Amino acid sequence: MSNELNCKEVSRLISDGQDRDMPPKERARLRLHFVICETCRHVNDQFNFIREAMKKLDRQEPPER
Amino acid sequence: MSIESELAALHQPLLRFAKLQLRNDSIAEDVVSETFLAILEKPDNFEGRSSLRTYATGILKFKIIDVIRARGREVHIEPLDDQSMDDALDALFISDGHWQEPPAPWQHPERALEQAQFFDTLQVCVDRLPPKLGRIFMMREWLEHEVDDICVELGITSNNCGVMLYRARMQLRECLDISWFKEKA
Repeated sequence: MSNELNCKEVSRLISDGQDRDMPPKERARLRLHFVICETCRHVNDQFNFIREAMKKLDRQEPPER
Repeated sequence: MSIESELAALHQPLLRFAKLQLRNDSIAEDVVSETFLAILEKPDNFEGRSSLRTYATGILKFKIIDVIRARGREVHIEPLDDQSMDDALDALFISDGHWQEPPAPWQHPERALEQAQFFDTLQVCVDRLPPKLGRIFMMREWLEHEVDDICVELGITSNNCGVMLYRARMQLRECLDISWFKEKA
């Protein structure tokens, strides 16, 4: 079982992957989990989306009030 | 529109970002003023660029980084105690590491990026993060610092840094899920 990650471990690895390069073996284990777990694929997409949105946060025109 | 009136319109949004990052209102006012001064001293440098907002924000970011560097180790943030962070995260998962409530996919996230209202929600969610998490998250995602530099600047271990960023992202995901994507579903 040591090769299989659970969703909690995966959520932490997705976050870590946004901060540092992941060794190929670790990346492969993460991707293996994505193959079998749709939920974690969504979470990965959502973390990536948050990063993209943060880059655009200051490009918005000031809201009219 | 004159550059003065364009800058006037940028004053509040830039100030809000500076305050969030620096946690000190008068220093935030100072860096925004210095940013405007830098632009007004050399208005030619801006000519031909697409957006004054992007240009001004770029300068402001450098000013904020300078202040954070100058403060150096004075601004140590207290590392969160690992146990209490783990407890909060544990609540999202059942004991075998599966999600308590598996997150659903977000519908049309690309459309959200075209709506000013979405960015208001994002800002509210960032503001709602506990101050320490908000600050480290903004250093990473908004100032785009490398995580190793953040650890050094804040005097915390890289593991603690990683845990705090993880927790910030999880909370932000939750907040956007509830305040935007479930609302729009």
